[in-house]
Formats: sequence, C-alpha cells, structure tokens
Amino acid sequence: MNSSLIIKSALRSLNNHKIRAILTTLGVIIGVVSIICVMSIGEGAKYKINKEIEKLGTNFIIVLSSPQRKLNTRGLGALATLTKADVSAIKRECSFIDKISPGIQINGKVIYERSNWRTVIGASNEHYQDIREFKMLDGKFFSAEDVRASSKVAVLGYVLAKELFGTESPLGKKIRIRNRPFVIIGVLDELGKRPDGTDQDDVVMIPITTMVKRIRKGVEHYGAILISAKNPSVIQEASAEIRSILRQSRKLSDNQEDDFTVFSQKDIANASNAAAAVLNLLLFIVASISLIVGGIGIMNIMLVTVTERTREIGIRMAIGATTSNILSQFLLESVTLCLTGGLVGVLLGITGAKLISIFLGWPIFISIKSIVVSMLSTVLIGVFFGYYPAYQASQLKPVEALIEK
Amino acid sequence: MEAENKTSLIYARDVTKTFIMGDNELQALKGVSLSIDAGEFVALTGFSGSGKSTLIHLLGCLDIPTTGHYAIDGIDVSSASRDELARVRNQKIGFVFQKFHLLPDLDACNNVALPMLYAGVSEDKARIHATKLLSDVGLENRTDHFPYQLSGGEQQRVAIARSLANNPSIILADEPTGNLDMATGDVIMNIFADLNKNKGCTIILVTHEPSIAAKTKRIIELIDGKIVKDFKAGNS
Repeated sequence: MNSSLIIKSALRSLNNHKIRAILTTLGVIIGVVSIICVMSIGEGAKYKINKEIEKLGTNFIIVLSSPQRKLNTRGLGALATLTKADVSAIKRECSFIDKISPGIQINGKVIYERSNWRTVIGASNEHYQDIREFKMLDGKFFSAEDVRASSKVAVLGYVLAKELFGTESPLGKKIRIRNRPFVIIGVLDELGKRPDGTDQDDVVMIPITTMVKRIRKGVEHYGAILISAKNPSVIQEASAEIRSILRQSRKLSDNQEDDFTVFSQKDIANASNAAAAVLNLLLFIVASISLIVGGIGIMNIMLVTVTERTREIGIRMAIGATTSNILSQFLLESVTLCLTGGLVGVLLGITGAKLISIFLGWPIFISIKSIVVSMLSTVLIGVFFGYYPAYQASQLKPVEALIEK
Repeated sequence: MEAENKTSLIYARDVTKTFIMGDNELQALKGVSLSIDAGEFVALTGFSGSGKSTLIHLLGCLDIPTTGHYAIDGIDVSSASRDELARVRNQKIGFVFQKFHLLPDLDACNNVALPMLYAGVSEDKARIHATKLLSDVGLENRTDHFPYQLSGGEQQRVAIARSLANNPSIILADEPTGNLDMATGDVIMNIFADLNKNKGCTIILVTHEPSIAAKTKRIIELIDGKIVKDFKAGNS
C-alpha cells in the first residue's frame, strides 16, 4: 500500500469532516502562527538593536566609573570616580586611540522663558561629537576654545529642541540650566530611542569645563570616559590596553577587581543581543507550548476517530491490512492533519507578522528558518501525538472490530 | 467424515474456542474437526449461538483457535502471528459479509481494488482488475459509485467482486443474503453458484435458512459448538 494513496484517503476523510478538521487543527494553527510571529519579531528586534548600537559609533569605547557587577544597580556613571589623571594616562599611553573625551551626566531642569523641561545634562569636550559620530541638524558643536574658556554654551538634543522651541530656531536663544544662563549654539540631529526605551534625543550637552566649574563647583570627577579607536578593527586591543592603563593609573593591586568598566560598542551589541536572545527564547517556549497543546488536541480527536472507525479498521484487517498498514494509515492522517494546520499557520503567521510590523512600526524579518522550524515541528507533533491513537487502532482484534456495533 | 485428509484445502482438527467473559468461560466450539476440498460449495448451518459464526471467523483466520489445529491450503495457522494471519486473509481468503462492509469513503472500484493494494499491486493494475471484477458481477456502470449510491444487492455484488480481488483459495460468506429481499438474495446465490460451477471457486457460506443451504452441495450443521450433521445436499 503506497503512501500517496494513504495521503489521498487521509485528505478525503479530512474533507468529509471539515468543521472537525478545522477545530482540531486550530491549536496547531495558533501554535505555528505564534512561532512565526515570535521568531520574526525576534529577528526584527535583533536588527533594530544592532542599528541602534551602530548609532553609538562604530569604533566607540566607553569607560564607566562603576565596576561591572554594580552597573545594573547604579546606572551609568552614578558615582563619578574617574579622574583627569585617568584621562591623561589613556591619552598618553594608549596607542590605539584617536580621540578621547571625559563625560559627566546629571539630571536637571532646562528653562526657556516660561517653559521648562526635565532632561539629561551631559558634559564632554569638543571631541564628543566626533567620537559618537553625531550629525548636527543646525548650528555647530562646541569648540576646543569653548571648552578651554568654560563657555556657557549649550547644544540641544533633537527632542529637547522640539519641546522647548517648537518650530522656532533655538540658535542664539538663552536658556537656563540649573539657574545659570547658556546660549544655544547647535542642535543635534535625531538619533531615536535606545533599545531600552531611553530617548537619546532628550539631552542638552555643555562643555565639561563649564560643568565642572559652574555646576559641580570644581569637583573634577567623571562618570565616564568616551574614546574612539583609530579604526574599528583595533577595538578589542584598544579596550584591553585601556583596561591595563587604568588599573595602573588607579593603582589597583593584582588581586583587586576593576573599579571601572570598559565597554566597546561590540560588547554592548553582544550584551544587548544576549538579552534579546533570552527574551526570544522565552517567547519561543511559550509559542511552543501552544503548539504542544495543539498536538494534544490532535491526539484527542484521533482517539475519537479510531473509536468511530473501528468497523472500518475491522474491514481493512479482514481484507488483509497488516498492523503496520493500519498504523501508518492513522499516523499519516494525523501528520496530514498537522501539516495542513502548519501550512495554514504559516500563511496566517506571515500575515500576522506583517500586521504587527505595520502597527508597531517595528522591522520584521520572516525568516525561512522560522517556517522550516514550524513545519518540521508540526510533522513531529503529528507523529508524536498521532502514534498512540494509531497504535491503538493497529492493535484492535479483527473479529471484535468487525462485529462492533 | 473425511476429516483425516491432510491435503484438503481446509483442514481442522479438534478445534476449540473458549471466550472469557468476566468470570465466566464460554466454550463456543467444543472440538470441531472437518476438511473441505478445493471446488466444494458448503453451507454451514445452525441456530444462533450454535458456534457457526465463531467457526467461520476461525476458518477466515480472523481469530485463532484456543486448542486444536487448523490449516488452510497447507499452511498451519493455529498459532500464527497477527501479520501472518493478515497475509493469509489477504491472499487465501475472500470475505462476503451480511452487512456488506464496504468502506463508505471509497467508490466501488476502490473498494474492490483495496485488497490488491494491501497485496502490493500497483494502483493502476489494481483499478483495471477491479473494473473487470465489477463487470463480471454486472456492475460495469457502477464503478465510480459510492456505497450509499448503491442498492443492497449492488453493494453485495461489489463485496463479492472485492472477495475475488486476490484470486483467493476460498470464499467465506457470512449470511450473505441476510440483509436482502428474496429476489435479490436469489441473484446473489446464483452468482455464488456460478462462481463455484464455472470458475471452480471453493465457497463456504453461513446461513440459518434451509432454502439457501439447499442451493449448496454440502451441508454442515452445528449445534452447541459441535458438528452434528455433515451431508451432501441435493445439488451435488
């Protein structure tokens, strides 16, 4: 008995019980749809995260003043312990670096006339724009001269400029930061949100010297040091060298842990991707559970089918069907049922993923992998959950099956 | 009795069958010995509960005896495995049932072709042979009809065509006219008689109607799980 014939008869019996087939496969369909959506969204998220991280600058290294194990609890540069000496040591000794800028970041209010806005006040030297590869929307970034003179100039992030000035040009306008007057000399181009949701455009940048003298009252401790490597290929070497320079300059003995953290753009990308991968795995597990529940539905209905078709099984046995003929017939029916559900699920899943991408404005990649994975799992589900009912059918006794009422 | 002839097509010796129903044992066959040669046309008669259905199930290899020996066409099947029995049923035996037992999802041609497909015959060949068998029973215009589109007599003729599919050694018919009116029953009996007379088919049919039994050549009567009469009928 060849399998194309069994598949034909399986399709015919599905066709004879349409509503039942649809209800039975619904579980599988939902499972496949969720797997495809989850995997597509996951791929999209990965792409988006990498795009965002590229925006940090491609050969960008950041030194944070917290040890790595405290990063999560303290946030970026909560405790500023990096010093001018650290910056000079890196500048002097590291052979891979191009530009370097100390950084301080605090929260504060920015006031323009009668409107005010709570935002992030960032301070750096004139190299920051180059290190981060920022583009200017309007005006210019502060110069080396501004930094040397501790000028009271400010560069606004895109969102902050919008909030305070609307359509008006902010250039030359005076704002107050922590009650000190600053003149706006530039507006940064839009960067977008970070993967963690913080808005990189909701910021005001001022010269580091101005921050130290006029806001920090002379305390010259930095929360971060931002560095660009000579080119992206030496990032790893640069990070390693910076670390050993800092250990020396901070006089850490061999058995002491780093009291700072060196991150490259690549490290951030890896960390973010690892976090995304964990999330994707969790979502994938949830989606798989729905597929398994679907499989249980298949098993349930196949058991009913076997009971209903006891007479048919008896007849087939009487005319010579072997145990394996009956087993493969019901197994193939269950696989056909699952595969049909899988195909419908793939089509709905692609549609669903597209809809999600439209509604969330999130890039979606429908990967061949997700389609192959879900089709393969439906076949496996069909075999796994179809086996028990099919086995039951094949073990019926011919006489009993024939005289069954 | 000729039960000692081991070269017979059907050879049963001291066959018993006991069913266990809960705490009770029911002995349906209490030592049956018989042999049937190729070309015979036999009626198996007896009242309901006499054990004739049990006997036909054993003869048809749908079940195995509790004790005793049974061989068909020289193959001892007393202790055969499920799949060996399935092969014997497929190759050596053609069944015709009281309730026709066609598969409702298959048309007449596919119903007849099915035993051949189980035997490994290709689909095309099976369908060609099935069409021929259907025209032999006068159903050449019904090959693509489904069972529900056929009358009882037509369904039974499809079942007869199916029983002949693999050119079996023996045809077992269990009350083949039981669900049919007299006239249609006569048509079916004539087909059996014709198969026996002109094609040399060996046929055993179970019936409780003396008028049907009278149309065969040999009558075996069972009472209470034992053969009580075995004689040649008027037709021989």
